[in-house]
Amino acid sequence: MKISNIIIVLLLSIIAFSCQNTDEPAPFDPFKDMTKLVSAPTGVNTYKIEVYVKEDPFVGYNKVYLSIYDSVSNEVASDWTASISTLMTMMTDMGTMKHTCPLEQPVYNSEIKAYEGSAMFVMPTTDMGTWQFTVKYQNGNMEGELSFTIVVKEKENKAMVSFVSEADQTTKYFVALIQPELPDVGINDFEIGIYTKESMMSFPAVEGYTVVIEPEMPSMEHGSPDNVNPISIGNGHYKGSVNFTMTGFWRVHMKITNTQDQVIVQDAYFDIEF
Amino acid sequence: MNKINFIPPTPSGYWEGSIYYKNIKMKNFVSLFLIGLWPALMLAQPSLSVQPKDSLRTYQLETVTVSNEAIDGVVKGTQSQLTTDNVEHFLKKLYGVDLINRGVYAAEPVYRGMSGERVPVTINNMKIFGACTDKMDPVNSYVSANNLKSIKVVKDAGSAESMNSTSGVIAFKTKMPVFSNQPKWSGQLGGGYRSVNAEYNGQFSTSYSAANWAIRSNGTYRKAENYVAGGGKEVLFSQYEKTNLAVSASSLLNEHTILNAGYIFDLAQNVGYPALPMDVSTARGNIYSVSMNNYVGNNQFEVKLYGSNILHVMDDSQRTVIMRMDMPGWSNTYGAILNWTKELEKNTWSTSLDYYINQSRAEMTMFPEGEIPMYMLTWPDVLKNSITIAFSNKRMLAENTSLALSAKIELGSNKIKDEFGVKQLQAIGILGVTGNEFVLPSVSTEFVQHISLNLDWNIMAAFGQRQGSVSEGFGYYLFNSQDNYDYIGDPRLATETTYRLETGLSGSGKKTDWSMQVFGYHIPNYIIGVIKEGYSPMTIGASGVKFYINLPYAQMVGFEGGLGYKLNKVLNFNTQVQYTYGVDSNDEPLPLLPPLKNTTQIDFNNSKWSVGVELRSALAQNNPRVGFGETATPGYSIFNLDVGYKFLISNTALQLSVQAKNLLDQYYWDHLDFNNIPSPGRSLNFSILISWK
Repeated sequence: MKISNIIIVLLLSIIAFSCQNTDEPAPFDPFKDMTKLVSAPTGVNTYKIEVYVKEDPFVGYNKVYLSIYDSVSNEVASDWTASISTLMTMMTDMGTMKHTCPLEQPVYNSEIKAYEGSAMFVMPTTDMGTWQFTVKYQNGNMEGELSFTIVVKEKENKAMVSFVSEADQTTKYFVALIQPELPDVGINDFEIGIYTKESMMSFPAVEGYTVVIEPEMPSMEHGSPDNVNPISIGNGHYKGSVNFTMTGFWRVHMKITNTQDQVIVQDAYFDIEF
Repeated sequence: MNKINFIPPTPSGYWEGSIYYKNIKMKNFVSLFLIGLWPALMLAQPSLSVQPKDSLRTYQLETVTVSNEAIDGVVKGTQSQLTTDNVEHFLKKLYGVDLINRGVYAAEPVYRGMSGERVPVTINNMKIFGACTDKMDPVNSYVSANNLKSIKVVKDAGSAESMNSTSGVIAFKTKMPVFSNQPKWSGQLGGGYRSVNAEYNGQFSTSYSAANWAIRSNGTYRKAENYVAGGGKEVLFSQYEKTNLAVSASSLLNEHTILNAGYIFDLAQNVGYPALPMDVSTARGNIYSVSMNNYVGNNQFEVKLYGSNILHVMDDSQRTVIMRMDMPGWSNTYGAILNWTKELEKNTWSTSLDYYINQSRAEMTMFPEGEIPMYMLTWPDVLKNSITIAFSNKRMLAENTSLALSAKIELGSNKIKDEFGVKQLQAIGILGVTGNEFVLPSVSTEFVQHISLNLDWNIMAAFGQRQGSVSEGFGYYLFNSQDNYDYIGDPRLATETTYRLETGLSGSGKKTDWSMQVFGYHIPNYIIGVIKEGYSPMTIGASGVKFYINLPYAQMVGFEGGLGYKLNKVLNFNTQVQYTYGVDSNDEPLPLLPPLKNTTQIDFNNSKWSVGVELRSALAQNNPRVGFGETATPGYSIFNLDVGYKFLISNTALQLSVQAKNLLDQYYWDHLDFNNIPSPGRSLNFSILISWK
């Protein structure tokens, strides 16, 4: 590399860094703090597709954002249709097993200019099992598919609990913690998603169940007052609020009853630390 | 001449009596007295007249003045008591005053069964607020005995000394430097030992006086191990170490104006509180003021700027605990006082403007093993703004009657400065509250009739209001180990109102001094903690949560009085008695009510020897507030004995004293002692004090 080139590179980087220091508001970038899973041409003209998650994929409720835009004009596509699917392939002693997980199909959200959906991974990536993530998209009669593997990790404080119904001892349930994302002292939204497993390929949301919550600080053996039990708001989501009187390690206990008034779980819980 | 009936025409701060002058050089006493009064004499000669005989008398006793306003403080003490005892000893001598002990360090004063915000403590009229959520640092702990000039219970509404209180202010005055025509140095140096807790103490004071400026400083140091209760049982976690320093300098700017600057530094370390689950690693106070007094004719103007910064760090590292905890607290106060007093022959007017801000913050961090720390704000950085306009007038109605009228109005607000605190409140269901505002009017009136030469009759009526304290309004899961509940404050509390009526008789003659006062209080919106169901306590093992609420009312009645009798030139007899009874609107007894108490003392004082025998007794208190964790308390009687000897070597006086406190080594506790913590057993206290001039 010639010395003049080095100087140019240096100058450019100085300019680049100085530009960052200006007080101009940064351009709106909803994906700034997110993790980009993949970026690829769609095959449709000059359109690109990018897939984002808020944080590295984890066992639990993951918001998934699809950004489709013209890589030349930067124009965002809003009238495409897109769908997501997941597939876990496991090598077991009994052969290969495949299953999916609860999903919420992407819908265009004009606020962040992206298609917003979710995937509730029910198990982590292991040596024996791999998650395949597939996005299908369509614009008029043009369509395409993007498939890639992702690594799903278990969070230190589990964001999903699964159990077999205590009522019938057979139905498998998955409960994901959706809110609070940023727990704080005071009143926090408390939102969970409840799903069941009909088959390896079907994990529908369940509606109309009753959830009773009770927060606790296990090391102090105390709780908090005035909590609001989550109620069913559709799509398997249940929303209420939980009060944290101080920072530290909290455990939110849940007792869930099905529509036949049978307790499916007496005490499942999420641990929340902040 | 054990008692001087003396009302200085200028602020009482410019006279400094002392044991040395008074007892060693009795002949010169009057002249020294006049030297001490010199600025006052010079500046305010027209009003240097004997005050009309009424209830507003101040008694000067040795170096310490203790007085109640409406009731004469018939206070006696021997030499050794006055030089060896702590400030608490003098507080107890005030009629109606008692102490809450949480150990042997820094007792909290109670007046007529009321404490805390109901009876605030001031130092030189400065508002100071403790930084401890458990009231471990009462304001009186910042004044050491060798800096104490007077203590007074101020009960009227509108004087510069009064503040937002409903039943009285315990006003401490510290010693001020004294001007002198002939420049001179004087000082004291002393030390002592107490056997009951192996306390070593040292003290000094020194002053330099010149014609137009003067400076005074003093210091004390005390270090003690655990004390031993009656019968020989060691009370663990009762040690302490304390340093107190004070400097005060005055300058005569011109013949009408005195400038004063004062500073108090107080540092207590490793203070054990055996009655509480936590100790104190550091309690530090910095208190400072600048004031200017101006005397023109009958007018006296005072401007004062002051501040205090209190740090209080609780600590449980010496205790066996389930979980380690840090509980630091901060209280910073800044204020300004403007006062104008006009004294006419039969009429005294006083107007004052008083502004202060206080910021109180306390944190609690718990460290569970293997988990992230837990954190909360026990006082959520509460900023209090307060401005008070006060007015009082006292006039002679006729030859033998006087009437005093006082009124004030305080406007103020409390605001949570830390958003974290607002969120905490939301978490317990108090929504949309970030503070409160208040308007607090107070009015009082006192009528005094001089019935005969030796008999006065007084009657006083007062109306006052107070806003909840930081803990009552904003406290967050403050654990009270006595009733085993966590306390939560509520900023939405209504103001507590007090109606007070009291009347009394008093008399003083050549040989006797006596007074008897009866009082009654009706307190609507009485603030107290009550159990709130559905809330789980934060503290491990606590029984539940109490919220501060307004009860419909509480009522109190009681009496206090005393008799002093001078048997002859050297022998004095004194006895004082006090009692308070109080119930709330549910007919439950109020908490922390002292039972009937009596203190009787016989003193012998001559120029060389002093001997005092004191008997302190309390009847049983069988009316405990069970819901406050109180139990019935048996009565007790304690003997104290002290002997002092002093002699003079040229200009230096040497004073030796031996005290035997709790002579019979009784095992006892007072009803006001937190968690029934036993009082110290027999203690032999030795002290030596050298004074020179």
